[in-house]
Amino acid sequence: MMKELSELLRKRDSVKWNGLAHHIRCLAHVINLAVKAFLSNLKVAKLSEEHEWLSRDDPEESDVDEESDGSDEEDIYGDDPNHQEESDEYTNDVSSFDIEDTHDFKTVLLKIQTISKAATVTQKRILSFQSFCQAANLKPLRPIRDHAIRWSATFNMLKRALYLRRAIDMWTQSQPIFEKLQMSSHEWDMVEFLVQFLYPFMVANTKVQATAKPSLSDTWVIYEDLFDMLDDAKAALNGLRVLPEWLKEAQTAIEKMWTKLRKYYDKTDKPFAYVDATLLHPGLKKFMKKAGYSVDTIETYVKKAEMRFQNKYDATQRVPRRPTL
Amino acid sequence: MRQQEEDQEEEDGGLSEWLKEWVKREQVSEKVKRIADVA
Repeated sequence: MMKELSELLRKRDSVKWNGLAHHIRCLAHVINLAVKAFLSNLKVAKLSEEHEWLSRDDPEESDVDEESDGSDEEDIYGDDPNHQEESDEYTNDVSSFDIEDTHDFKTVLLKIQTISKAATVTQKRILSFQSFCQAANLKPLRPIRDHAIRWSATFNMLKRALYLRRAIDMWTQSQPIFEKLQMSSHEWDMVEFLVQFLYPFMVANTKVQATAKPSLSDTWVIYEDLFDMLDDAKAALNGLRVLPEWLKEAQTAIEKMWTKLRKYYDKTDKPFAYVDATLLHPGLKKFMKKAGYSVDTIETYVKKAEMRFQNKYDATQRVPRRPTL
Repeated sequence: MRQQEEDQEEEDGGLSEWLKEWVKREQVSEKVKRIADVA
């Protein structure tokens, strides 16, 4: 398609357009890759089969739509007629509650995933969980189940669990079979860390997926905000004299995430669309100033952007080609 | 657009505002220091 478009522009409008050089990557996918890099380094997110399969063939690994429409986020089983059968098996099988405590994010995530499934697996358990919500003076919400396709599902599961913390604590203490699912305050701290750390990525993700107005001009601002946040987290971790093992794990994961984000940020220097969208946006000169550019430099860039448009794309400004005999 | 926001709020269980306020309580760097101190 890129080749076809390039050919069409050349033939119809005499515009030379190099599709590869002007490839604008989907920022939501870049965020997805960065967060997946973080979560998989904490060994808490298994990449989806689709993602792994695509990564084998594509060294760029990324710009592939692995977003779903989100409709299955609340309950991955939907109207599956086998769900009840599976529910019965799951309810009677308490071996999945026997989680090995490895004092790391993996254990914490596994506990929350298991709680979120176990508390919503039958109508009886749903009603029972709701009664604990009421006792804890919380909205009667169900825990959200995780799935491997979107990182936002993991975030939503953690966020909901955090809100339902008191109900979850009461529920896991209500029956001996849930004993292994009980969360310590240290484990809740780890959940809090994940939600707090991933929140800016969720905000950025929501912003770039909005369709009401073009958001290309926001790209560098979003990158800048995310790098600032990552740098703060890195500085806080580096400033600690003694780092517990689980925070060392987080430190490595943050480095991997930073590298991944940087890889895609570096690719934004080629397509002119990024710089043009930033420069031509009335409010973004302020951002450029904040980033250390002088007013003169900004004005020079704006002029260059205008000339680039006139020379390359504006048909009214171009000298018509002399007809060939 | 309004419908999209309402759908998202529905999916979210109406917790967007709660989360926004919750994250304001502490910076990531403060949380890291506090959690590490406790550990």
